[in-house]
This record gives sequence, C-alpha cells and structure tokens, in this order.
Amino acid sequence: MANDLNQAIELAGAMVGGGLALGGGAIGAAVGDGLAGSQTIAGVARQPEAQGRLFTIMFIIVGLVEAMYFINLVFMVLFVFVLAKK
Amino acid sequence: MSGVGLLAGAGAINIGNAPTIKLLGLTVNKYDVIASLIAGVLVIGIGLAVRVRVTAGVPGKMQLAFEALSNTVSNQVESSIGSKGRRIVPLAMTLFLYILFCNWLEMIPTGHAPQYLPSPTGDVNLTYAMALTVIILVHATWIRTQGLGQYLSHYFRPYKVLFPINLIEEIAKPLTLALRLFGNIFSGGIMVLLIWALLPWFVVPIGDLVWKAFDGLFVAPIQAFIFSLLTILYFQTAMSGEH
Repeated sequence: MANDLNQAIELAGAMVGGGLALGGGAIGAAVGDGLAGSQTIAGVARQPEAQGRLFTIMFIIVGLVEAMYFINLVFMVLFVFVLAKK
Repeated sequence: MSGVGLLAGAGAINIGNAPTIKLLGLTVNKYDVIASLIAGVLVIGIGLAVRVRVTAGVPGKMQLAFEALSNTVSNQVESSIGSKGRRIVPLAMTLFLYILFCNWLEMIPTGHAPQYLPSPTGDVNLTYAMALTVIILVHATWIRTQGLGQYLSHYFRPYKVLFPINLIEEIAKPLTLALRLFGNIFSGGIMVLLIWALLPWFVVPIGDLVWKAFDGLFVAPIQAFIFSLLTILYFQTAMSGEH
C-alpha cells in the first residue's frame, strides 16, 4: 500500500517535472527563433540581395536554439519513461 | 507497473531498452550498431561510385551533387580557417554525409518494437562517441598548432577569474554537440511511436507521412550541417586563436 503510494507520488512528480521542462523549453525555443527571424526580416528589408546569406545564418541559429529544446525533451523522456517506471 | 498508463505498460512505447547482445564483455545495442554500419557502407559506397565515374567532361548528377557539397564545405573551411584548414575538409564532409544518412534511416519503416533499422544517431552512444572523437581531435590540434603553453594559458584569457567559465565552456562543447544531435533525432523516433499509438487509425498514415517528411527534409540536413559546421568552428578556434 505504501509502495503504491510512493509509486504514485513518483509518477506525479515525474509528470509535473516533465511538463515544466517541456513548457520552459518551448517558450525559450520559440522566443529565440522569433528573435532570429525578426532580425533576418529586418536585414532583408534593408538589403534584399543579402537574402540568401541571411537565410543560411538564420537556419544555423534556428538549429542551435532548437537544440536547447530538444535537450529538454530528452530530460522529459528520462523523467517520465525511465525514472518513474522503477 | 507504473509508467505512462496503458502505453508504456503495453510495450507500445519502449524507451531506453534497446535489444542488446554481449560482445567481448560489453553490452551492445545490436540494431543500432547494424544500422550505423549500413550507413557507413552507404557513405563509402557512394564515395567510391563517384570516384569511379569521375570525369572532366560532362559530369553526371551524382558527381555534380558531390562537387557542390565539396565546394560548399571547402568554402566554409577556407573562410573560417584559411589555407591550413585543408585537412579538415574531409572530416567535415564525412561527418555531414554520415550523419545525414544515419538520420535518413529513420524514414524507412522497419517495425516499432523492436525497430530493426533504427536511426543510429538516435542512440546516445553514437553521438557521444562522435562528439568525443571530434573534441579530442580539436584539443590535439590545438596543442600541436599553438603549443602547450598557449593552450593552457587560453583558459585564463581574457581574465584569470574567468577560468571556471572557460573550463565549463570546454566541457559543454562536446556535451551539447552530442545531445543536440541525439535529442533532435530521438524525438523524431518518439514522435513516430506516438503517432502510431495515439492517433485514430485513419489519420495515422497521413500523420506518419507528414512527420517523416518534416523530419527527413528539414531536421536531418540541418542537424548534419550544424554538427559539421560546429566542428569547423571549433577547429578555427583551435588553429588560429580566438576569432
């Protein structure tokens, strides 16, 4: 009985932690992508012929920013699927 | 068994338990290793095929694509490192092609539990190994190019008090390199499992197709490109001091 309760508490904690990790990660990734995109739009508006180079740099930055989100996702999977099952 | 309700209990979503075999006393994820070997054979095979048919006349499509890739990598290396970076071009190209093919293996449907050809870059062991190899190469090149004194003193530039931060930066480089690639590709695989487990049966094929298209056309090349680009940038810092 106590074991069931402990397991339930662990599962609940893992779910909440996973949700927080995903939420914070999503906000951070979205804001970062938006900043990169806005600067790209400003740059292209100033100088339309630089569009190719600016696009390349934007995709590089998007890839780096999304990395934070995916690392958060990895930790969510760790919490929910691996740690809470024990 | 606790866990995520019915899904994990029914074995539909199986995380962190890949089928393993024991090889020389070490535990090896067998399907991941087989898939990584297949990707390696593909890379070598395409390279050899282009080499056999290379011609100074009108080039074929594969040769054109290879030349475009080689020129892009070469220009990137030259613009950041200069002429002494020519040794890095094969490393960067191999990393890009190998990671790209490994990521593309995810798009082939080969079963769910167990997946017979999973994407090897979705296994954390491969990405740790690649990042470790690259970082060891970077540090060795650093010491060889700039000397041990310069290498050790760079940890104390520009201010001595920043030594812990520089140390953490050097440790974070291989960690983020590995986890970035792993997280992107691993989450693609998880998404496929979720699509097959959660959506109604008539939506599953469309969802599968859309997600795999996004994963293969967008995430895979970008992650391969970022890995090789960051390798080139780390070598730039190592070979020619701070940019």
